[in-house]
Amino acid sequence: MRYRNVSTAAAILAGSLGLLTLLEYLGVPLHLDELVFRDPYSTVFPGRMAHITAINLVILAVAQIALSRKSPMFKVAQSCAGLVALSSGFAILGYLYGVPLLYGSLHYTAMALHTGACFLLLSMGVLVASSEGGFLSTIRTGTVSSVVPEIFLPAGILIPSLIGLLVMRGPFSNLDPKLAPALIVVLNIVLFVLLGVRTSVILHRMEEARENAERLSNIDPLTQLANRRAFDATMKSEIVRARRLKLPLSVVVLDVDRFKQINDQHGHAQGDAVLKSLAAMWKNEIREIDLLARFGGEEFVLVAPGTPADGGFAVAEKLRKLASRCDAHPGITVSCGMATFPADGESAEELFSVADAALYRAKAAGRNCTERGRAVPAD
Amino acid sequence: MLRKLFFIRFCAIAVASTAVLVLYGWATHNLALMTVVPGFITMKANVRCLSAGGSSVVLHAL
Repeated sequence: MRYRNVSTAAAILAGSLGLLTLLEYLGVPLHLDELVFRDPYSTVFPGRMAHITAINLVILAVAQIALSRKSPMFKVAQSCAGLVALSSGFAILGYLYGVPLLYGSLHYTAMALHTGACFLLLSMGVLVASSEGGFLSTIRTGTVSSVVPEIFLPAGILIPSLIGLLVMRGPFSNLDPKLAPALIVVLNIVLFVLLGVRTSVILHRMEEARENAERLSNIDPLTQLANRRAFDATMKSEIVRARRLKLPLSVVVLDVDRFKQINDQHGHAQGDAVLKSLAAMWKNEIREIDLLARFGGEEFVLVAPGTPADGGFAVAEKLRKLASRCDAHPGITVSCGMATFPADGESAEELFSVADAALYRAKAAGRNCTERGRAVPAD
Repeated sequence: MLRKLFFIRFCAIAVASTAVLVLYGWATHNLALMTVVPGFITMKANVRCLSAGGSSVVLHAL
């Protein structure tokens, strides 16, 4: 903010005028009332602003000063602006409904209609200017937090005011005195029920969109298998479960042999078709509780909960042999590396690392085979 | 952000303009500018300090 000092000075000037006017109401003769122009229109205190106007000026000045500080006091500014908005809103409604008590005591000068409107605009300006912090900081346009205020605030303020106007000054003003308030209550209940339903529908749609986005964020778009992010999360939770229930867990890393050659010789579309075909075939061969994920490139990984080393090896071999029947590229081969919890590792990272090392051994051993566990050290 | 700035500036300029019009109304004894609606209460001349408040908010928006 480039003009912080000027802004603060303007707020202090406005607040001081309000404060001095309040002192005049308390009997201090400051003679501010007709300092600028003589007022032939008021009778009680000619030229003097209403006490509620003076109070509003002081409160609004506090709000603006709080906002002009180097470290703005957002909550103070918003509380003060909210108070001013409330009192000026009452004043405007007082004029609309013909209720003088709402815009000032009958014994003093009352707040003018356009003064009320000005205060309402100024307080709204302060509220919007301070919305980056304080009570309003959670309301961000386009987010879930903004849905309720964006629907409720305009509708909740304007529609009940309009209902009141229709019943008190409009076509329903000749109703039975007991029927009028009852009608206001009933119409407001209907309004709030409709707003509640509308908000519920919007929140439900946003929740669905969020769930859909979350689902998509866990899926590999090419193969429609789980992606690495989903694999990491599943591995962590399955390790915890296996440790708690003292169950084995096997991890198989599968890598398509000479995949670069397929891409180079037949194009990337053919390479993609191979990956999709393998994913579809393998998905049909695993249990529902197993997780098959595309780890990256031509590398897949299978998490088989409750599966000991022998069972894991059998699954790896089954998937490896199945690869040769790949529709997109018959005769393709796959190498596998396998590790089992807890013998080969007790953490997700350790287990994957052992399985990956086993995969490299399988590649080194001539490909199209499965290696398992840690390497046996040579004597 | 732009909508926010636009709203703040709109509020401030509307308030400052109202204050100027009311002052003009007092200077020329034009009751319509002082009261808006005939028979309603006048906006007092010293409420022109609202224009100071308005400019303060304008500065916030700069």
